[in-house]
Amino acid sequence: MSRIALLAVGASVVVGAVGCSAGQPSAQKDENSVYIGAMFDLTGPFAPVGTAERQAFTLAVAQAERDTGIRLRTRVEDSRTSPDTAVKITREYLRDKVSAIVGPTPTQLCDPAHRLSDAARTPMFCITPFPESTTPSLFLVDAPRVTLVGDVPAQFMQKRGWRRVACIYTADAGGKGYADAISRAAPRYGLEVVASESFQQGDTDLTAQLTKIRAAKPDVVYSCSSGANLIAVLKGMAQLRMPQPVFAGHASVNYDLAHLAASNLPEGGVYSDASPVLIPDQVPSGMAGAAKAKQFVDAYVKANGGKRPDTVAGYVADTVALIAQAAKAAGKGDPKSLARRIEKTCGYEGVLGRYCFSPDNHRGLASESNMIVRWTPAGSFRLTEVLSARQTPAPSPSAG
Amino acid sequence: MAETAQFLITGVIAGAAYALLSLTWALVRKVSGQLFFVSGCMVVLGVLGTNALTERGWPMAPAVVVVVASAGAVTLAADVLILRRVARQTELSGTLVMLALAFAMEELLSLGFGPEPRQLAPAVAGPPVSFLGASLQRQQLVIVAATAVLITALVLAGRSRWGKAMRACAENPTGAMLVGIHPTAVRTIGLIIAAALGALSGVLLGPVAAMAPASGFLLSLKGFIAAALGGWGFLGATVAGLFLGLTESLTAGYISSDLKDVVSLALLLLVLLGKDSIRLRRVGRVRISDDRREAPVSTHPATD
Repeated sequence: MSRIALLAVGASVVVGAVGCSAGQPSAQKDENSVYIGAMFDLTGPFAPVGTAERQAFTLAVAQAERDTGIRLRTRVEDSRTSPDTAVKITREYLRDKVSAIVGPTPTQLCDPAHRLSDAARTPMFCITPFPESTTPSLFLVDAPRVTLVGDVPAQFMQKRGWRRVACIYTADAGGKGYADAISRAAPRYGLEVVASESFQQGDTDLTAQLTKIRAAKPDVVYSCSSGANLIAVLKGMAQLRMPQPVFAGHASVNYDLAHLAASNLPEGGVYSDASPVLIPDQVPSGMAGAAKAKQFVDAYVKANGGKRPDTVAGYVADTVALIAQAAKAAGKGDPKSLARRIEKTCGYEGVLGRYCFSPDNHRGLASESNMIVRWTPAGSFRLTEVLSARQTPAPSPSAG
Repeated sequence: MAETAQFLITGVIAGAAYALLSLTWALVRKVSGQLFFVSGCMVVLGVLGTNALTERGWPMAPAVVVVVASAGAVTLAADVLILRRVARQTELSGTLVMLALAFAMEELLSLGFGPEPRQLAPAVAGPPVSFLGASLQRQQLVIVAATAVLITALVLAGRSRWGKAMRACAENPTGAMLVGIHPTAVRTIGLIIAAALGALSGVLLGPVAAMAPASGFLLSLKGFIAAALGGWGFLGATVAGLFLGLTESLTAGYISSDLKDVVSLALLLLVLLGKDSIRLRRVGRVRISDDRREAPVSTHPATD
């Protein structure tokens, strides 16, 4: 092969590496300090999510240092929406003896990565609701999948009198997770899944799938996908003149997409669940997380030129705060002490709500209620319903 | 009946988009023998660049001209600095360089425009129109019409003196030079036209699909499949693009949406396997004739 070809391949690897090595340890190694290794998808299909996560991580680290008075060493890597890269980064972090790992986000990255952190007894916080069960080292700051993407939308659909549900999902672990969760939740709320169609991540034309969905005459379409795939669903529905309301998947809810969706909202409207971070000014008084969410959003907007954070950024902020609080309480940063201390954290109020972990419960967020928003033609969100979590059937138990 | 019409219309529109992208692959293959992996990046550049300019208050037409010209300029720079230096190397070198360029461009697009998806305003606004019981966006009619115009122009250009020069350069650069053709210039012009065509495709597709820097790969892959199915000729690629779109739509509609991409990839495999067996038979025939007379063997694909 010519030298030029080798140089060009090398140059692209260097460009990739620049993106990949988004951060290096922020201080020299110290056995007693707290060292957080983070991985976000800064490139690839999840890059919009990963970029917001990195911005939230930077803010949260500074805030946690101020709140706890302890110094956090950090390193951020680009997991590139690739399971192989996530595994490689996890190995590096474990070799480097990090205190805890934040990320990865997509389910297909979390699954292989957390097996390694389990073996090394190092706490890992995946930023996803999808793992069915947790393990001694896997922690999640999100509600369980069946609750978040199954029960919450099903409960809302039931309240609205929508009985026939159609699901359009991405043919990956995340999309199938949504489809599975709504299929399991539907019978409990008297709903019927009348159509279920798949598409590839990034497909731009979904009219064939939506034509089949239209023929099934659903009352509501559940967009079981993440990111900009929602826009393809809305554009397809507009083309086919489908007036049905759409419930947007949990990982599609952010201001960028609300702006893009504004010109394609169906007659029935687009709805989704929301966290205090998404609508800090509309959170009902007394709801856990409201005050901290407002502070976090203000700081994020200030640091990012007016760009607003989404719920995923909130997960990262709370994860960092929980790790720092646990490290402060433990008095040291070794992974095992940290994991045991996190299990004793109960009552901590973050930007998304109140957390209560235990050895049997590694899903900390204790949702007291769930907010549902309607997407507006102005590219924003309006609070439309607050569902009581007590009405939600008990989630499937985690292995702890 | 209305459902069938919708599947067919959907297939034709998707096929037109694939055909448009396959033209960039076919053109670069003709002029350089290389695989144009940066095709998807050019499409994304068309969307993100035009969006960035229109959001800053630029009118659509000058924004499109600037972005399409920029795509050409980027390709010219890549050609002068890298591509023409590997033009005479093995096909593997060229393929690797193009792949490396595609990855690097995706990163640069993300750094320059941000990772968020963007979309464009439609050229023709208004509610969807009905046709044979199916409904389609007005912009999709623009895509079909523009594809038809561009394909006609390329096929006619392929039959002109320039087209013949292009074919001569691809098949025998030394021979082309002997009759006064400058292969490097023809090659560079071909690459610039392909890049501009890619960016223009982005401008056409931008109103019907939101695109982010990472969106180019899948689109580009569909263009590659269509071009390969069509034998790397303009007309062949167009017909293959339409066939691919229709096959995908009918598979998703009548069999299963899970199998949509499986079917298109299986088609590509079948065609490539079929072509290999035809090529082997041809090589066998040529070897027999070589024993009797020294017949030249063309290693480049047939062109329109």
